[in-house]
Amino acid sequence: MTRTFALPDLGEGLTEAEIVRVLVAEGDVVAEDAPLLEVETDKATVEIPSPMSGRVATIHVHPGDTVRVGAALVTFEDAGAPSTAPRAGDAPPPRPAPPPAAVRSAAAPAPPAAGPVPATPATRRLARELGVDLRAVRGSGPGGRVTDDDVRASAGAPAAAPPRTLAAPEHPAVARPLATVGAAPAPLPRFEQWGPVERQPLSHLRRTIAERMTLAATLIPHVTHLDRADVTDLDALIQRSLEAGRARGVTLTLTSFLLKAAALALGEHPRFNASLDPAAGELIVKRYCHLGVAVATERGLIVPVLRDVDRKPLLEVQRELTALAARVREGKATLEDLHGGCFTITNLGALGGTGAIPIINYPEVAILGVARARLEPVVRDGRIEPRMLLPLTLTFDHRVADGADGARFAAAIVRRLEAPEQLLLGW
Amino acid sequence: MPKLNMVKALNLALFEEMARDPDVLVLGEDVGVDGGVFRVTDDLQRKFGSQRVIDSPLAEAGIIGTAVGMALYGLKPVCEIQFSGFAFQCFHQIENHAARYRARSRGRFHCQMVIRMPYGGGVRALEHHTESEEQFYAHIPGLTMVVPSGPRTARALLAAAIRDPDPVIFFEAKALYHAAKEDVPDESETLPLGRARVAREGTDLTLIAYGAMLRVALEAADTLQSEDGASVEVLDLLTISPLDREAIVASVGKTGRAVVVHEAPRSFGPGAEIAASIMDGAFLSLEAPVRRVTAYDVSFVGFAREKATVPDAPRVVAAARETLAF
Repeated sequence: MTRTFALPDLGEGLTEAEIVRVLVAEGDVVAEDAPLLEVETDKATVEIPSPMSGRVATIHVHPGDTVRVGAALVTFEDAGAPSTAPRAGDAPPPRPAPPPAAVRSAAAPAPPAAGPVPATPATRRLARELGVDLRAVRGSGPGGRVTDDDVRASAGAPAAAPPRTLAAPEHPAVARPLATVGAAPAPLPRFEQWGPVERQPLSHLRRTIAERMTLAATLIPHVTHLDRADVTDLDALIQRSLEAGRARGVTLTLTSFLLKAAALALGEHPRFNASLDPAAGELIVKRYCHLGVAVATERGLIVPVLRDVDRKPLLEVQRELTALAARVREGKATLEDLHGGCFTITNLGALGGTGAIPIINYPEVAILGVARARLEPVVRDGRIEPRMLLPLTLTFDHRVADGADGARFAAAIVRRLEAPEQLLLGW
Repeated sequence: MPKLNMVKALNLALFEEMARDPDVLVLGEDVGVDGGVFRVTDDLQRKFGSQRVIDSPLAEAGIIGTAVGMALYGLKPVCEIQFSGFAFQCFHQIENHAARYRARSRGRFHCQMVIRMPYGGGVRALEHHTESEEQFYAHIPGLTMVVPSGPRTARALLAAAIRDPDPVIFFEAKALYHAAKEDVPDESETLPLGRARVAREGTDLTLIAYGAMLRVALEAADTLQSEDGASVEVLDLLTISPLDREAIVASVGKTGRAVVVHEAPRSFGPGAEIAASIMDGAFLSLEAPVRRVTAYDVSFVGFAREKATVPDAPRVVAAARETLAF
C-alpha cells in the first residue's frame, strides 16, 4: 500500500515553495515527524516533517524545484513492504560496479546516487554548512570525488582557486523570469560582445525581493521627508541603562526606542498605519500596530514583524526584537514572523551613511530610514554645543498623504526621540 | 641541569623514589649485583641494600607473583622484566591478578606496582629481544600502559608510575637507552599519566607516535617541512592506555589529516584504536583517511631484516605525502 504526500498549505496566501534540501533518500524508513524536506517560501525556510511512518518509495522533487501547494512530494509505502532499496540492518545488496571510465570522467553528469556520494567528511560538513546537496554536485576530484571547491562553486560562493572557465557554476536553483509590472522592459543587449559574462540564477529570496521592490517602486508615487532628531538625551539614557538591561538579559538598542516612538506617532497619525485599496477607492486603516524591522541576512533582506508594539513595554519590545532578528539570521523565521506588518523601520546606522531613502514595503504606506547618529556642532541658546544627531528619512505614499502630513508625522517621531520620557509616559 | 641518557635518567628516578619512600623496592633478574642487563638499576643495591634491591631467580611469573603479594601487603615494588619478549611467563600474574585486584576486592585492595620492560628493535638483538607488544597490555582494563620517548619524559613518567596507586606497565625503548642525552632538571619532576604532549606544532597533518617512534616522526616532520613545505604537528602519546583522546581529537580536528606510527604489528595494534578515536571525535574534520605506518603482520624477522620491518622516516614521509595529497 502506498500513500503520496503533497505540499501542504504552509501559511496565509502561500501558493508555492522552492525545495531547498531533500533530507531523506529513497528506501529510507522514516518515523512520523522526522524531517523530510526543507522548503523556502516567500521569506522563510521551513522544515517539513514526515506526516507518517513508512518507507520512502519515490521522491518526486529535487532541490531547486518550485512546487505548488498540492503537488506530490514523496510517496510512502509500508515499512514492512519488500523493497529493492537497502534496509537498515540488511547486508548491502549486490550492486554492479560502475564502469571505471564513467567514474573517472569528471565531465560526465553525476549519475543518480545509488549510494553515498564520494566526498571526505570535511567536505560533507562544508556542504551541510552551505546547504548544498552533494548529490546535485558534479565531482571533479579523483574517482569522481566531490571536493571543497565543487561544493563552494555549487553554493555560489567564490572557489578557493579561480575556475578555469567562466561557465556558470553548478547551482540547484533554476533561473526563471521575474514577474513584470506595467510595461515590459526592452530586451537586454548582448553583453558578450563587450567581454565574457557569467549568468547566475537568482535565489528564491533574491527573486522575491526584486519582484516586490519593482512592484512598490512602480505602483507607489514615493515622496521623502528628511529630518534629524537630537538624541543626546536618549543616547545617554541608553548608555546609563545598558548594565541594568543586561542584568535582565536584554541588550538595549536604539531600534527598540525607534519602534516605540513610531508606534506612538502612528497612533496620532493613523493614515500612516494603513493600506490603500485603489480598486475600492478606500483607505484601509489598521486598528492594530505591527511593525516591520528590516534585517540584513547573508541570504538577503528580510523584514520580520513585531506584533502590537504600541501595547508592549519597551523591554519586551527589545527582547522580542533580539530573538526575532536571531531567528531570521539563522533562517529559522516562521511565516508568522514575516507577515502582517503595518509600517517598516530600516536602521542602517550600524553601517554608517548620512541618510538613506528606502523603498516602501508594499502594501504599507510609509517606511522610516535611519542612518548613523553622530556628534555635531549645534547652536542652542546662542552657543555652539556638541549634540548627538540622528538622521531620519520618512518615505511615504503620496497618494495617501501630502508633504505637510509627512512633516507632521516625522515631527511626531522626532519629538519622542528628543524627549525619551514621553516614551515612558506613552505620550 | 645535567645532560643524561635514558638509562641514567631512569636510574636517577629510581634513586629519587627509593630515597623518597622506604616502601619502594626493586626486584628482577640481575638487578642487584649486576645493576641490570642495561644498567638501569646500577648502584641501587649498594645504596639501598639487598632487602630493597632483590636479585630474583630466573622466573618471571615468580617476580610478578611475589610483587603482587608485596603490593597487597602495602609495599611498592618496581619489577624489571629483562626483555618484554619474556613477559609471557608472567602474563597470567599481570592479567589475572595485578590488573584485577582492585575490581576483584571492590576497592579494598589495590596493587601499587610498576613493571618495567625494555621493548622494541633497533639494537640488532635475537628473537624475544625485539618485540613491541604494548597492545597486549593496553587492552587489559586495570592496567596503565606507559611508553616514554626520551630521558626527560622517562624520568618524570617513572616517578609518576611509582607513585600511582595502580599497576603500571612501563615500556623502555632499547633504541633510546643510549641514543641521545637530554637536559634533566636537578629537582625531581613528574608528568601526569594519561596525557599526551605536542612535541611539535603544525597545521597540515598530525603524526601520532610514542616511544622510539617519536624520533622517527620528528625526522619525518622535518623532511616534510623542508621538502614539501608541509606544517606537521607531532603528538607524543607517552601513555597508550588510558589513551589521551582529547589531545588526539584536538590536534586532528585542527589539521584534518593523521598518520599513526608504531613499532607493533599493524592489525589490532594501538593505531587501530587511535584511528577509531579520531572517527569518533574528529570525523567531520577529516580530509583524508587515517593511515598507519607500523611493523608488518609477521611473527618475527630476525635482526638481519629488522630495518625493513621497524618504521623509519622515509616510510612515514611516504604515508604522510599520500595523506596530504588525498
